[in-house]
Amino acid sequence: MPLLSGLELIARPTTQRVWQNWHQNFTQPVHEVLDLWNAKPSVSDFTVYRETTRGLQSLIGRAAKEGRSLRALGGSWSFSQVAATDGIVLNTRPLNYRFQFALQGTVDPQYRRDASNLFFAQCGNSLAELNWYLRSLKKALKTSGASNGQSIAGALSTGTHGSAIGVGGVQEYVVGLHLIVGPTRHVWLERASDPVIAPAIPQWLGADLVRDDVLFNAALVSMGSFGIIHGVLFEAEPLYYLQVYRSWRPLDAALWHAMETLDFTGLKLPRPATQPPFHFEVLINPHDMAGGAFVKVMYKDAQRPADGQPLPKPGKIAQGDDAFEAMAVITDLAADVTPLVVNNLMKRLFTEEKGVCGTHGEIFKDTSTRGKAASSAMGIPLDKVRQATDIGLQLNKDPQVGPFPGLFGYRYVKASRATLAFTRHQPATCIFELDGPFSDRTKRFYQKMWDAMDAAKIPYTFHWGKIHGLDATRVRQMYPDPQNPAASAVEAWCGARRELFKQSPESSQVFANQWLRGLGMDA
Amino acid sequence: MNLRTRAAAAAFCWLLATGCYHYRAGVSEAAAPRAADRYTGEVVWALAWGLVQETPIVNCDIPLAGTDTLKLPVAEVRVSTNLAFVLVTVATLGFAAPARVEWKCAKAKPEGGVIPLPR
Repeated sequence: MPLLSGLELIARPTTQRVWQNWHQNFTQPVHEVLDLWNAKPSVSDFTVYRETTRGLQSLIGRAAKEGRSLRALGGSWSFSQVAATDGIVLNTRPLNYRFQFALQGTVDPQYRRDASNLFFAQCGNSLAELNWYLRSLKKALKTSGASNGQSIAGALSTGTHGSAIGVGGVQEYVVGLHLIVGPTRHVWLERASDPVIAPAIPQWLGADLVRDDVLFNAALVSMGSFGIIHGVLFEAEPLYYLQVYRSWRPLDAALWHAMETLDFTGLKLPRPATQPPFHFEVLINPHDMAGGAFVKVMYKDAQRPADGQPLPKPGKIAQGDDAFEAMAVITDLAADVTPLVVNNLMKRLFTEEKGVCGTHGEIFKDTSTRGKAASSAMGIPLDKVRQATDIGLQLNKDPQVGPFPGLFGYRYVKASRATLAFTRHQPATCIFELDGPFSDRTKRFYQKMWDAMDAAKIPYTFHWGKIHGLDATRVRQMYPDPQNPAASAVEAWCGARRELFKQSPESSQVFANQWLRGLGMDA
Repeated sequence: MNLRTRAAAAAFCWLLATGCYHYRAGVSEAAAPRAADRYTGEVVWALAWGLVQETPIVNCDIPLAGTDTLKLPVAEVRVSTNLAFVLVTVATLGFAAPARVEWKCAKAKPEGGVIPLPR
């Protein structure tokens, strides 16, 4: 009988046999859901972290033996079935240790940046939790999604992005991954071109230190299929403030120019053109183009600006859990009321703000959106923004397709280095988002939109965590290999996955869910 | 039928089919407890015009090694009712009033650690 140290991973079986994502657009029957806890949940303890690693390895071994797929669940944020499995679901949310690098000798001598900005977070930390923790150390995340409920591991695995133009998606500030790839192997993965950890640390954990740019870039956005991301090594930055301006503006030539080029010189923004915004975001109501666009810009400051306004107190009135479902039913049954519903919502929900100021964690909070929502997001090159919008507007007017019961959103990030980041368009990607209730009309609109984008030969990509129309062919067409345009980066990604699992091939199928198989990316 | 009438008719159909009323208490502060798991809950009854009430017992304890237990707070409480519950309450003239009470347990808020220097 093995001696127990008392530090073993706590895996609590649950009675849950059906899993539903946060946005409630699908349910998934599952074999089992396990709640995972560190043996000492109240103090971040690296020795316990090591024991939890062993526990996760043993769960992978069990799944392999039983021939089941296994998925580590993040914040359940994804609209797509990227995180779904009919096998074993691991609720990793309680695994939320976080560590600083305060001791000399824990960072590789080749690491030249400020080690006080380095942090190691266990997979279950939500971005909101991390921001709260970092704030206590006068640090902040470089960016996040619009909401902060995603786990750090889930957010980077699907390429979650905000609209921090110069930063990119969440994966851009990740510099190391601790991946559990099988019952007998775990890996500390970094770029060879950017070594960070002192080799003694992974050695002590029992992890293989792998420094490989190709493998790391593939693993960054790997949709849960490169093993369990147990820990994430990332770079934060000193605490900063964001000053937010939200306003209605005419959708004129100056705004279109900014949306197509990120050149803000013609746009009269609150600060001089020499200081471009940190964050730029536009919302358009396709039912009321004359009403203009709702534009959000944020400026970043090291100190709270003197004219910074306090954050508004959260209102007592919020959208109900069933509001989206009601909107879906109403707009499905009576299509011509759609503009009325959307116009009213726009007026009520999108109010102007001038100079509200807060830290990153205060501005980007956990979402309050609940209920059956739908969202599809496409990464498009900047010069295709107008064309994609025109396609959407045309479909919105087509009685066979529209009206679309939602809004068009535009956010912007710099191109990613990750092999399959959907924010891949150089030099920056516009994320064109179609958000609305989860209804038949919405789904039909999405399909027609994707088909029309294909027909117009707009090179777009799909957000992995949102509703998409991917299949094995489409995904390969969307990601041409930059080194070899005749090939697809998807094959390079699959090759990296094979390389990672070559010592534990049985585990490869453990991390291949139905969604991945459907895309032919499990081989 | 004009647009508003049609919208109202569609909303009424939806209400009959799925309508639920939720009331939620949570903490909006940045450092508030975060939910560790899913909603757990039960239907509770208030009887005799509230003179007798059921009280759900919330257990957010995490058994640790040995006999240790970590007692965690609740992260969120949701109380729901629906058309059927309301009808029961009305039909019994308020004698019996059911509601569904659900909660999510919180994660631990671990103190931050420091990556140690292995010896």
